[in-house]
Formats: sequence, C-alpha cells, structure tokens
Amino acid sequence: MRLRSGTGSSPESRDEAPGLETLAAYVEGEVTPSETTAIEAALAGSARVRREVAELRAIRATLARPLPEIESIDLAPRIEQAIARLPSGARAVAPERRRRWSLTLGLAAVLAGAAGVALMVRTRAPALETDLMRVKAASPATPEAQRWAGVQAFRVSAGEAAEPLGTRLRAEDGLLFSYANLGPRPFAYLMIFAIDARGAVHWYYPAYERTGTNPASLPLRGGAARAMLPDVVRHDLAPGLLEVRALFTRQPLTVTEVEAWLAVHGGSAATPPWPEAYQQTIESEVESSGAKR
Amino acid sequence: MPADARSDDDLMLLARANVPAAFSALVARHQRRALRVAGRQLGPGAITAADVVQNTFIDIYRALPRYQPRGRFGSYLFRILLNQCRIAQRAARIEARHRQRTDTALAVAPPHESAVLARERERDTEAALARLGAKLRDVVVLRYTGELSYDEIAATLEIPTGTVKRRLFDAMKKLRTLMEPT
Repeated sequence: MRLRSGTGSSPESRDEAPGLETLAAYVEGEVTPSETTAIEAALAGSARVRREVAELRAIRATLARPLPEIESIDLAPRIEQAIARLPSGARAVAPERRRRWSLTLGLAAVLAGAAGVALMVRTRAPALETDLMRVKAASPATPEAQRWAGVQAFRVSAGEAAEPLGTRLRAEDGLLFSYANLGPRPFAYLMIFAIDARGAVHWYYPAYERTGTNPASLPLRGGAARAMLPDVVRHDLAPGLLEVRALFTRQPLTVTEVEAWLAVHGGSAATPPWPEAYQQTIESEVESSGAKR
Repeated sequence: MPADARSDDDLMLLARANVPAAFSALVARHQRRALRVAGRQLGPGAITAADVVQNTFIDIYRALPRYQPRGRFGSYLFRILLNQCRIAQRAARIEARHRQRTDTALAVAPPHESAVLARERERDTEAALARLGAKLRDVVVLRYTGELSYDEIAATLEIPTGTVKRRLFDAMKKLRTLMEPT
C-alpha cells in the first residue's frame, strides 16, 4: 500500500510522519519493506508516532479480548430445544434420494458385452454379474464412455484376500479400486467417493483427510485396461445402502465443486454438469460392525 | 470419524441427513466466536448477544436443505450473524426511542454523567465502535474479534479483499480519532 502522511488528527500530523491509516496497515503487517523502513525511522524519531502505534495496538488488543460473561454461555441445549419446537416443515430433512432402479438383465448383458467393462469383468467370478446389474451410468450423454471406462471395487477384510465388492460389505471393510480407461478418447481425470445411508460423502480418490484442503481429481492414464489404485481405504460407513460413485471427467474437479453439486443433486441418476463427464454408480449394503455375512 | 474431526461442510450434510449430533457439534465448534463477535457488535448485554447467536443457528438450521458445501461455512455463519445483529440493533433503537419518550413524559430519567466519567478503556473502545458506520464496524470486529482472515471477511461481506483492507485501516483510524481525548 502507498505510504500516506498527515492523516492524523493532531497538529503534529501535518509533518511528514505517516498517517493513522498507514500506521494501522503497519500494525497489521500490511506495508511494503520500504514503507516499513520509513515507518520505523518515524517511530525512532517521533514520540507521536510511537504513541499512535501503541494506541492502535491497544485498540486491537481490546477488540480481541475475550468476553467471558458472554462466551461462557452454552447455547447448544437452548438451540436443541428451539429446533425441537420448530414446526415439522421447518426442520431439516434428508435430501430426497431418488428411487433406486436395477438394470434389466438385457441391459446388463449389453454392459457385460461392452469392451471396457468386459475387460474388467472377465477376471471376475460369476458373482460379478450381480455387480453389473447394480452398476448404473448416471450420465446419459456418453454411452461410448460406459463402453470404455469404468471402475471395479474390491472389498478388503482384515486378514482376508481382496475380493470383488458384492451386494454386501462390513462397516469395517476397506475398499480397493481398479479402473479401465480405454477407447479413442480416454478420460483425463477420475474421482471416487461413496455416499452412505446417512448421506455422508466419503472420499476415496482423491484423499480428503484434512479440513481446509480442497484436493483435486486423480489424473488418469489413458489406455489402461486394468490399472490398480494403490490404497485400501477404510471409512466410517453408516449401516445401510452405500453408493460408490466413480466420476470420469475431461477436466480436473475439486472436492468442494463435487460436494456442492451433490448437495443440490444428490440422486445417483442426476447428470453431472461437467462436459462429457461420466458417472458410474455401484451399490452395496453396509452391514453393522460384527454382523455375519 | 468423530464429529470433532469432521469439516463444517460434512457436519452440515450430516445434519441435513437428520443426524442431530452433527448440528450440535457445529454449534459447539462455533458458538464461542459467534458470541464474542455478537457481543462486540451489540455492546454490553450478554442476553441479547446469546439471543442473536441462537437465532443465527436456528436460521442456519432452517436453511440446511439449501446449504451448498463450498468450504466456506465460517463466512456463511458470520453473514447470517451480522444480519441478526442488525435486526437486534434496529429493535434496540426502536425500544430506546420508545423508552426515551416514556421517560421524558414521566420525568424520571436519571442523568448518566457519572457513568460516562467512569468509563475504562474497554468502554471507550465499545463507545467508539458503536459510533463507527456498520461497514467499518463489521470489518474491524470480524478481523480482530472474530479472528477471520481477509479472504473470509471478503467472502462474508461479499466484497473484494482490497476493500476489506481499506475499510479495516480506515476503521482503525476512525476508532483512534474517536478515542483521542479532546
């Protein structure tokens, strides 16, 4: 910021000493090195400047001081009671989840015959046919995409070998993924996340572990028939329906962009708004911890 | 993942999915700072500040179905809080005018000179703050009392970051001038 002088209200402010706005910027650490040098020279030579800086710091400290008589109030019980008294129409409701549908056997057969998916499927046990029936493509714009791209999910239980994700998994199971990205125009980016029965979004790729970060899509390798992603990821999944979604895109997306879209269009049949995006959804049922499969 | 470790956006999504503990966790996380900001905005009177913060959280709860998780819950919270403060300030002004008329009619209003003389620095600051325009007061309170970053303040007030800085330095200059002994 430019050094301003003479904006103080005392007669001394008519000299070339920095004005109050400049000193406020200095107290905030928002001046350039050359301005800092000029201000520090003024501080060394002017009692008025020293006094003003001390006063500005004191004002700042006063404003930052806690207000214990106010801050000690715990509002949570009052707010909970107030929410309980709200008319039911004003209470939060879970976003409407679209009615789930299953692909017909015929459509499943078409999918199974599609090259990209088939490449993944061929290595799988017969149980995979059930998986395929649960695979849904939410993006109607790209039947070609369904043909060439897709993810396969594997369930990893403690002490057991990974096996393809079936209709059920345990809450404590981890998930491992592989992807296919073939065809004349392979996708450039991928995100994999899951929405559990509580509506919570759990991120697998990219990893989203720290608040305040906003990780972006995973860059993809083109021409990959079965590329394994490296991590087994465990999340605290709520019992009930789990939708695992793979979002293939031409452009990188961020976690917050996708979550903003999910908040408005949470249903798995919603079309992703990004150009040529392809969303694959795999459904499974999360069993409570310790439940027998 | 425990509620404490979840982001604000995650908690909002969970609250929307009817997980009551999620909204309580949000209240617990933000109420202290919200109370402090409301306390500074409104001046003495803990009950008013508490009411304002409570109304703020109720507004947020009502708006859960429309909330868009963009990693800016803090700005969203303080935008609603500032609106609630303005509503409370308007109500207080109306009440004060009414009381003044009543007091004049009954001729029972005691003079307050002694209280003015007894002010300490804190009260000088409060008084100066009350005389600042809302635009400058919002910025200085969000910055120093709410401890928001420039970017968070910019998002809260929907103004450019450069404007935030200009208003902050202007506010400090005015506060200092207002507090200068005459």
